[in-house]
Amino acid sequence: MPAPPCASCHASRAALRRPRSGQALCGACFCAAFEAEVLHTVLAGRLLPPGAVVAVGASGGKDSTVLAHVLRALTPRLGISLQLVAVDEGIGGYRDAALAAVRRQAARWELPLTVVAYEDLFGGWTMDAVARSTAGSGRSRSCCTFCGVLRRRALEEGARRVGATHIVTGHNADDMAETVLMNFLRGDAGRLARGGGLGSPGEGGALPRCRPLQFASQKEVVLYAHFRRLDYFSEECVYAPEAFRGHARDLLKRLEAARPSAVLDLVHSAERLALAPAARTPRPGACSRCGALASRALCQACALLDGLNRGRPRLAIGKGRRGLDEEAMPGTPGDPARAPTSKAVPTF
Amino acid sequence: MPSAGTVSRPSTSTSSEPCWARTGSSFQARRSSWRGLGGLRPAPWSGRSLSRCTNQKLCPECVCAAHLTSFRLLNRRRNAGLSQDSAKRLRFVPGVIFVDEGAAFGKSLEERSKTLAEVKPILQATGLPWHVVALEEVFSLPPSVLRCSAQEPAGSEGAYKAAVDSFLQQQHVLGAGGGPGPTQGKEQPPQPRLDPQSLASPPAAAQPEALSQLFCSVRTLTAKEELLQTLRTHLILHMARAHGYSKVMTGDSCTRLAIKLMTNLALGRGAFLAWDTGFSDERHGDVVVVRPMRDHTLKEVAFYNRLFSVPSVFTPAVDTKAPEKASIHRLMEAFILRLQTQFPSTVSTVYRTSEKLVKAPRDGPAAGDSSPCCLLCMCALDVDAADSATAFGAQTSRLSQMQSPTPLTETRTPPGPCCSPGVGRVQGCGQGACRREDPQACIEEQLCYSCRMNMKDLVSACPPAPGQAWGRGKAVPSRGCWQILWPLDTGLCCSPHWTPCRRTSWPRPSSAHRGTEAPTAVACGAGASGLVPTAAFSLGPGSCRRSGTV
Repeated sequence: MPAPPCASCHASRAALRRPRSGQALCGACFCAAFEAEVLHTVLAGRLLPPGAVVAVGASGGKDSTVLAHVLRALTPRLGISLQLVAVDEGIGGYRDAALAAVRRQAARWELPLTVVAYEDLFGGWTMDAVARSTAGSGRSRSCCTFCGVLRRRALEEGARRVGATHIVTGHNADDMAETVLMNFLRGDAGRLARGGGLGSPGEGGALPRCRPLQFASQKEVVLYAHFRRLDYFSEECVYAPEAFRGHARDLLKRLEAARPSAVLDLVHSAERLALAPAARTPRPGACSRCGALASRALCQACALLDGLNRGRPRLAIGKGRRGLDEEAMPGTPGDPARAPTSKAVPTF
Repeated sequence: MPSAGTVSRPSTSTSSEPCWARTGSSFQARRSSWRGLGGLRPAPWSGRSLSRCTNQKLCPECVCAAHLTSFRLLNRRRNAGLSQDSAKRLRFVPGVIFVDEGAAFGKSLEERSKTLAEVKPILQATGLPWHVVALEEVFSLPPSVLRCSAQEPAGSEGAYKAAVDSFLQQQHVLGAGGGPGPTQGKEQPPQPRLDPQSLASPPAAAQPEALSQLFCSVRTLTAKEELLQTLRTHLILHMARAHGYSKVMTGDSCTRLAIKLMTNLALGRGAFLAWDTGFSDERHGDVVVVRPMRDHTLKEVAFYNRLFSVPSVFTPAVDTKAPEKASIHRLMEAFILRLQTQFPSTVSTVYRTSEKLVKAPRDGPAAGDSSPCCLLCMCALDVDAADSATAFGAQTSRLSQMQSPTPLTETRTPPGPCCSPGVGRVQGCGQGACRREDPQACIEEQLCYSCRMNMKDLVSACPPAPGQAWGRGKAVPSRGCWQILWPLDTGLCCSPHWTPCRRTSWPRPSSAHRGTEAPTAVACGAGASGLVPTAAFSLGPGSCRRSGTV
């Protein structure tokens, strides 16, 4: 059966059917529509004011590649300048190849690229070291917990170094939908209350962040990259299979198959969730150690690093957080091999 | 037989603890539901129970008693609980409603009457007032169900009830046999007066066909389930209002609610989760839907049914034997139950999170009476301006649609079978589409996000030929919620009879209103005869879990 004609130009054969509307479009029309929608999101949400210096979090993957490409195409229209910021998490065999892809992209688009490494920022900790440190600490290694928190910090740091006023990340609708599913399954009311918007406005000294691709489904992002022949890196992180997110991702794929609009429906739900005031976190303060935005005395990044340095990597995760206050020893030089002090030493 | 002492009870709610052993519950379970239950397979049941109360206060025992198949429990409650000397007397008189949904998925009248024959003895055994109603009667709902109370200012339920009463009387005079009269005399076994009428009366002959045609015109199982849910709710609410019940109880267990919560999340009903899964749901104004079983897990319910040999009847449902990926409902159910076996805290975590949800909209003012409500689900509209930077805006913005030379309604519903599925293709419907275009957009405007999505799955079917029993003309004013939904299919909205009504407020139960009922309740509680039913109804457990096995 031949493909139907493109619903927009009527000239060429359609190459895809859009999940949100069921429209059959050809590649060129789809790319134009995709860019127009990102532009609309940015304009209608007032995400990036003219004159902004925008740091694009570039991982080398499809989302950030597409985001950088679309924003670069829209730069004259938006009146912004772009900076690529990549984070080197120090994951052997995975990150190097991804960073190579980022470098190729930066060279192709002639955009300035800054790479910040965990190793430099966090006192020698790389993700491989974190994974080794957490390996014996329980059922899962919680790598994504560490990596996510630290990457956020690293991206912020990198954006400051290049003098950016805004940070954009490539999160797409599928990411948002997975997040809301996952937060429900984990019972994370605080995150549910905060999530849903297009980003954070940048309170308490943090740079404003936004996600211009929030309404583009993953499928469309991949297709856009395909039609524009973008060069991106598509390996899965070596630590990813352990993450709980896998369950949510799996479910989302099935939901999308049952009803193509399910992804955006979930995003809509996330936007509209109303939580009791008690579930909303109190106004965030500043981290007592690094001054970053934090809802507790220590920001999550500092708390995680603190736990790592004390040899109890799970200290700041979940219920382990309780131990954080009682045994906090600020200023103690980090020693990853150090045994926990609370453990009784057996005598023979 | 395992002893009750071996049953572990994960959810701890001290208030309901004493009644756990007696918690009755029936629910319909699909085979997959039983996978996590250690091989126990209590007999599934698919009725919906209605309980009417003479007191607004719901003590845990009563609440449990109201649940669907705790007929045995109902009996016991009635014998022991209703007597005046009992300390734990039942403070209200529950009634039971059974909605026969067979027509929705094309069951023949014989099959349906066979099911009813199985259901009736169970209903009768409860000794409580019961009602059997067929789903297709939703076609003959009086428009007042949706209209009058919408336009009335709050607090004037009296006028509304009078309107319904007069409608019912008119029905009796005409001999149309719309709904059963309230069963009088609670202590006598209620007469099975309804079912012969409802199934044999003249309109019923065409209605099942219309209903199954309607369900056939829905393309996805997801939308079918939502449609069924909507119709069932409207029908039960009407029955509750017509019989003077002020509460409707449903048998949703904690597990079912967790599944429903995640399902509704995926359907875009994020704004209404607290309404859809909370303990009480006041969105309908004068009739409150309560979910008294929400503290008990499916497993507990199963154990109860098993230990007390609760009778049950199997009836297939829309999704019976459907593959797992056929609908969002099935997918989510399978997912949650599977995850629950890996992470036993899944259901309780989701359930606890749902308790933190509130009914007020996220950022806007508190759920004001001024905000317009969805015509189908009656929740405050949750849509944004078409071009806003939201998920809704992204789907409706001109940008998304600008590529398309065809109007909005056409792009949303790709030209598909226009007349009855598979018969007439596009031809003959061009005119209908143009005619329908305007009203459809007009109706869509009055639906919430999720209902709009469901509407997209509704294939336009040709209007029935005029002159059919339920076609245009005389039947129009009495079509109830079809005034709203049906025009999408039939183009009836173009008829002068139909005017879109924008519901702005629902009467909220005022304390004065309650005050007038309470004395009745007390009087009724004392003597068994002459009870005026004032309270509730209930939908089947889990709104109808069905077993996929035969």
